[in-house]
Amino acid sequence: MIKTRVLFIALLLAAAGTLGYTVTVVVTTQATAFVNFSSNAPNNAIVTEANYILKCQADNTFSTGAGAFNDVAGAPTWVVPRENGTAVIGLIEAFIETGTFAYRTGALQCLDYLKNRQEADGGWSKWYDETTHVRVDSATSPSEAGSVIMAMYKASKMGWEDSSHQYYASAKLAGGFIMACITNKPGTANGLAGAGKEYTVSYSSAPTDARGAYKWSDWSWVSDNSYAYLGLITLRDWAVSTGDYAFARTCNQFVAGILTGMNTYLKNPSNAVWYRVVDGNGVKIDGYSEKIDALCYYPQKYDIPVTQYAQQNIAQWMVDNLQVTTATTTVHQGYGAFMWVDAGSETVKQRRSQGFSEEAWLALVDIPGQTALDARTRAKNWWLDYNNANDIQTSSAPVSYQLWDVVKGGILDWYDPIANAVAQWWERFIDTSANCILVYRGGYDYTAGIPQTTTTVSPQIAHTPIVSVSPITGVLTATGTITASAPLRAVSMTYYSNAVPAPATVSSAPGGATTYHFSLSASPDLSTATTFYYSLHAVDAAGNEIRAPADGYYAAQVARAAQATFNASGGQLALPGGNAFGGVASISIPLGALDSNQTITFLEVKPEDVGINPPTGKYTLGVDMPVVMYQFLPEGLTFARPATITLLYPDDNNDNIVDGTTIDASQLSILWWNETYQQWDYVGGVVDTIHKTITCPITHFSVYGVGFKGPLTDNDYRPKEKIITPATIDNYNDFANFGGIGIDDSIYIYDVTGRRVRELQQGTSRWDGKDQDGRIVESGIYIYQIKIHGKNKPISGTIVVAK
Amino acid sequence: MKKLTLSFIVLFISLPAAAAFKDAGWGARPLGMGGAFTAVANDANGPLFNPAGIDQVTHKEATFMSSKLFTGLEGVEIGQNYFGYIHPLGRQLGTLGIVWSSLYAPGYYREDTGSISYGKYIESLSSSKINVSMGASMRYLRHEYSLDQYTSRDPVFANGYSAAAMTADFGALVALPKMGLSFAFASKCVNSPDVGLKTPDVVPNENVAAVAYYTNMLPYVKLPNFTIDADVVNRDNITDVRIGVETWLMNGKFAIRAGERPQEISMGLGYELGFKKSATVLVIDYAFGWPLQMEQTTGTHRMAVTVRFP
Repeated sequence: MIKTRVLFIALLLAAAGTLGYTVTVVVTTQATAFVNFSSNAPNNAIVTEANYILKCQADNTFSTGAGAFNDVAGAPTWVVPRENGTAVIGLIEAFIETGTFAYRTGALQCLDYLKNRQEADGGWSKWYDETTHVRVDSATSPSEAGSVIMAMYKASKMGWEDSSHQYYASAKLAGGFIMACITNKPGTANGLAGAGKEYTVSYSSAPTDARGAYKWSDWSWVSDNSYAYLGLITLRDWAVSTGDYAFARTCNQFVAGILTGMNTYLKNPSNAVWYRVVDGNGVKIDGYSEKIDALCYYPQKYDIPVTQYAQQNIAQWMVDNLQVTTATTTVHQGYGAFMWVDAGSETVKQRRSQGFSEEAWLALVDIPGQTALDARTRAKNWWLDYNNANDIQTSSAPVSYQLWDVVKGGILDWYDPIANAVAQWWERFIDTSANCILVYRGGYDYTAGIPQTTTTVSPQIAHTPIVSVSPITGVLTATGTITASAPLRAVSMTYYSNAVPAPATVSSAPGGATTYHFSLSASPDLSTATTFYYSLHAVDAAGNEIRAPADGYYAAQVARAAQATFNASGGQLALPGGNAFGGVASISIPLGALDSNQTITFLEVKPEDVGINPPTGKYTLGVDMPVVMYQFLPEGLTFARPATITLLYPDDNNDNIVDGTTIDASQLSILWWNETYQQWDYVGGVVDTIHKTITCPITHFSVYGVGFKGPLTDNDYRPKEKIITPATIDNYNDFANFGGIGIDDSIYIYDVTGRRVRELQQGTSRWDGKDQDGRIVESGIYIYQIKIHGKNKPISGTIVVAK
Repeated sequence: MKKLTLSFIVLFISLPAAAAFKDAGWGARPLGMGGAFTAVANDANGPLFNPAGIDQVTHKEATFMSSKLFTGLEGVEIGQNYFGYIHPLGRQLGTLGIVWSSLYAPGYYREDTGSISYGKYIESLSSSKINVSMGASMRYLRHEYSLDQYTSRDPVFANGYSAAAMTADFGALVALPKMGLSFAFASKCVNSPDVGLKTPDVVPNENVAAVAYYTNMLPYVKLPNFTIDADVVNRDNITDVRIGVETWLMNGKFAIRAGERPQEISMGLGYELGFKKSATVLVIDYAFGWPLQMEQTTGTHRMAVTVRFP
């Protein structure tokens, strides 16, 4: 690519001359910082290079170029967006290393410049001269776009985006440009990006690129495609994190295509590395594809997950073809340096280059084994030694070979000990300084934290919808399991209620897992809501997403609920709301019913809430299952004196037929759920068809329902238990539970001699096996008589007490 | 004798009470007298009331009673059977008694009592014409609960549906024949046996003190062969007083009885048939109990047949 750079300079001069511009390169003459590249002081090298990058940044003097990094200190005459992207990454790494705020400022100013300079089609030209407003190189390329996208995303991940610095839209536009380079590329090598769009006119006369064409696009460079991959997979990650999932999936598709294209067309089957470029049909181009330079190992350097050759072979190839591993005694040979190679001229293979040595180091650092270790050690030792001038001074090489420009700053790109030449003052590149920072940071992972999976399989959500939610707890917790083919990036629940229709979202971090057991809790204000709506959403790193339900929302009914603490004085607790007929569900606890403070909860519930399964097979609502259910907590609480509950039943159209059934409302009764025997037992109740309520006394807490009992028989009043075991409280036959007991009804218990041992009054409907003095009676046979108010004949039966 | 009497008094006062096998009534004759029979106890109905009393029986005697408790109540079916046999061994050897009794509610529960009793005349203080008898019973108690869908999962029944225990009764009877008075003490289930399935289910010790008066002709009302008995029963810290009367009319062939206990009044009839050839006597007894607290019942009916062998 440096070859290209030199070519640019020539073109610049030619173009400037052609267009009548006078090319002026402003070079600062400020004193340069002392450079100590000692490996023991990496921070010094990082600071030196980062400061030099800032030194090359154009200030507000240049209206369009402010913030741009020139390749040398001075006016923005040589601004390369791809290098600027690399420089921004270098500055951010320097900020991470040192905390120097100026690096953050410089990075953001450069990104702002790039955002403002972006072409209408989303790309960037390869070279801008902001003193003359010239798009110097008339082509835009995927490399420029990919580099800038990575820089912008890195700043975003640093949390530096704010109202003044917003880059996603710009990056997304750049991603569209890369995709256009792929979709518009002629030829059959599908998936690969072409070389970009060439403009036929200069920037000054063509403020938009609408007339550009993808002129050179049938050539697919490994560098362009590496940047295209990095740009789009970075953008995919960014899109996922911003919730732009559809775009993330689009990026994912293109990323997968690039990988396939690189594996199919760019692998060089005859050696360990890659073709530099292939034509539109994926065919190698004689004289271009197999030239030897840094492009051949770019996928290794840029961490592209192409199908790898053996990495050690890549290292060996790099050593064999590009590193100086022999030295003579006559000249400074630059042992260990990687060479500046112009694919079109083998003669320049003599040039020892710190820039290429850094690039090689960044490729070698990820390769295990002695070959790579030795190679990168040699390279680093060379530039350390050389820049300290020790080697020069002990050799016959001229001091002027020293690559750090002590006058202007920056690293000259090469020296040639064989031709006894050194790079011109303008042959220095801002990305060399940036790469130096990356080397001294220990290398750089270009896809850090970004999963490389390109699956298109959507995650799956296993979740049992919530049927109802209690406003007492105020918390709705959705749980389940999500499985995904790519690491999960976000799991969230969006919810609202009919009372608060503005959706809110809670999310959890799956941490990149592919199987994730989620538990998402929302605490909405449900005080006035009747229905709670929620949906679940998961997205993986590839932008594949799943919603549950697929459309709309789950609806969970907000159960009516109330809670209060009572003492021996008793009191009343009503559910909020009530019905349209003035009916209110409530419980009234009389004086003396409780002997200590007790927090009581009263809820309207669904069968699922309380673990009650409807009868198997076809069943009739209201007959086989209550039409409404209420739960009283704490479960099993008993009262010394009966409490009175009033429950609502549904009859919204006021036709005295229970809604959803054919049951005459006057025939409703209150039932209680016998948890032990999994059955609904009759309690009784008085129906109020005006207020749509039913009322009856209860002596214990349980789940109560309202249902149809039909004409009552004596057996409805009798306890189902024939034998009770009151001395062992274990939820089995602890009580004899009578049904249909009203507040004016009485129950009498007699022993086998006819002695009355217990009298239950005021609606008490369960016998606890105790006599009137509170002692558990003797085992044996007892006779009960139920006296129903208004009935002359008592209902009698036998109950046995066992111990 | 005094020590023995004193010990019964102490027992009566101090023994604690606790749980089952209540006296629902053994025999038609005692129940016709309101269950006040401890100071009488002079037939095959006697062993469970007072084993000391059976020493008064002079002939072998067997009785069988069947009863239906609280008839007329729909949903209530409680029955009771009683069989007693007395075998006098002679004045010196004393008297044996064998009893089997059951109380049952079909489909719910059943309890059985088996007993072997022994009564013996101890001494006669001729100077004051006081006769003293002592007796004891060994009792086997067993009760059994019925299995249904409710009890089948109840941990109380995890180890079975029945339980049994042994216990003993002791009794004493002091008769003053010239005065027609009898005094009796009985202590039943003296070891308070545990018949629990899972938790303690103690059959409480029951102590009875009783007095009876007999006269050939009750003055004023002219009731022949008249007996009145009063029992004071303490069980499980509850004390009852039972009073019963009996008179035999028609030269001792026909008996009329009446009785009362706190929760019931009762009346009874008896008719004695003699078989001259064999000198065997057949007695048919009926008793009717009328619960005072329970409603709608047509009462408890007891029918007994007694054979008194020559």
